Amino acid sequence: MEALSEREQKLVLSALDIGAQRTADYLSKLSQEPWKCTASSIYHNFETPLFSTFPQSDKPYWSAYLPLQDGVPLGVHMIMSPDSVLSLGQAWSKIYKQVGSNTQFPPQDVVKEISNIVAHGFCGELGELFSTLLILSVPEVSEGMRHRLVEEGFKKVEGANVLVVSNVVMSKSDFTIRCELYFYAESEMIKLFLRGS
Amino acid sequence: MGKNIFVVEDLPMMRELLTMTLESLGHVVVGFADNGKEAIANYGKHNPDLMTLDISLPDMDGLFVLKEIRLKHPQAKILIVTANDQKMLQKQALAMGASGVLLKPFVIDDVSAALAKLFP
Repeated sequence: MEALSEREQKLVLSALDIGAQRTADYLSKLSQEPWKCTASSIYHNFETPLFSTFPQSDKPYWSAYLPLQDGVPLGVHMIMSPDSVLSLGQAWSKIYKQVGSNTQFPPQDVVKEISNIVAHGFCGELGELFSTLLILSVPEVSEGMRHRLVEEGFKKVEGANVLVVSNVVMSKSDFTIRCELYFYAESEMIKLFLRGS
Repeated sequence: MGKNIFVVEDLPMMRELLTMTLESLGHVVVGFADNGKEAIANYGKHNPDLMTLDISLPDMDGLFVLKEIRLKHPQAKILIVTANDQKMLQKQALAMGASGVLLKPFVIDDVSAALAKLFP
């Protein structure tokens, strides 16, 4: 399978950067406080030795995997540290108190919610770029060692030979959440979408 | 006057936020479904004034649910509630008979405005 050209890589990466802005807008609206969201995205094809770039850690991470519906070979995988999930859960409970809810949500619900917002922010922009309706499936949440989560993510998109890694930093005045987003896709599919756009 | 509303949403946090918001606006949430199959099966049982429908559901996409319910209940009022802000999706949902689209995340004023359009 042919790798993406430089122009195609640039188009995909710029869509992901715009997706970061959408995510910030979403979070600001939800919490009624200004959020910033930045994403630095790196394109890889699968021939690049990728795993060596990830530091090892003993702490279990949370991950959410969102494939596209209808069998389109593209998946979004988000990985967050337990500290970020905890901070986000606390921030969220403040928002829910405003509408009278005292529910404490378990970490997996927090991961589901944030991954849904972030993945839609990014995929919405990709969908606009491709002129194609991209509907994501519900997040599959799991917990484990980061390298294992990444490895499992790779296996989920059959035929994927393209990977974009985004380091996403979401921050507001009192805290920062960092997560890693991985996009797995098939280069032929991206080329086809870009030709039709 | 408060409306009877059937909420179809798979994410627990969003389901709670939507329910609390609707109730704070004086409406009654008469039932929930967290997947498409249950939504289709239980719509008639609740016979709501309005159904809120998420697009990303675990077993099928919300557009299919919209189509099925509108087929059996042509008068059904269905408000799509989605984080997917692609214009193409909104256009398609409205063409298939959705009464409106509410983007997530929402604040109480967004929900209030969406309902005011549906029930002037």
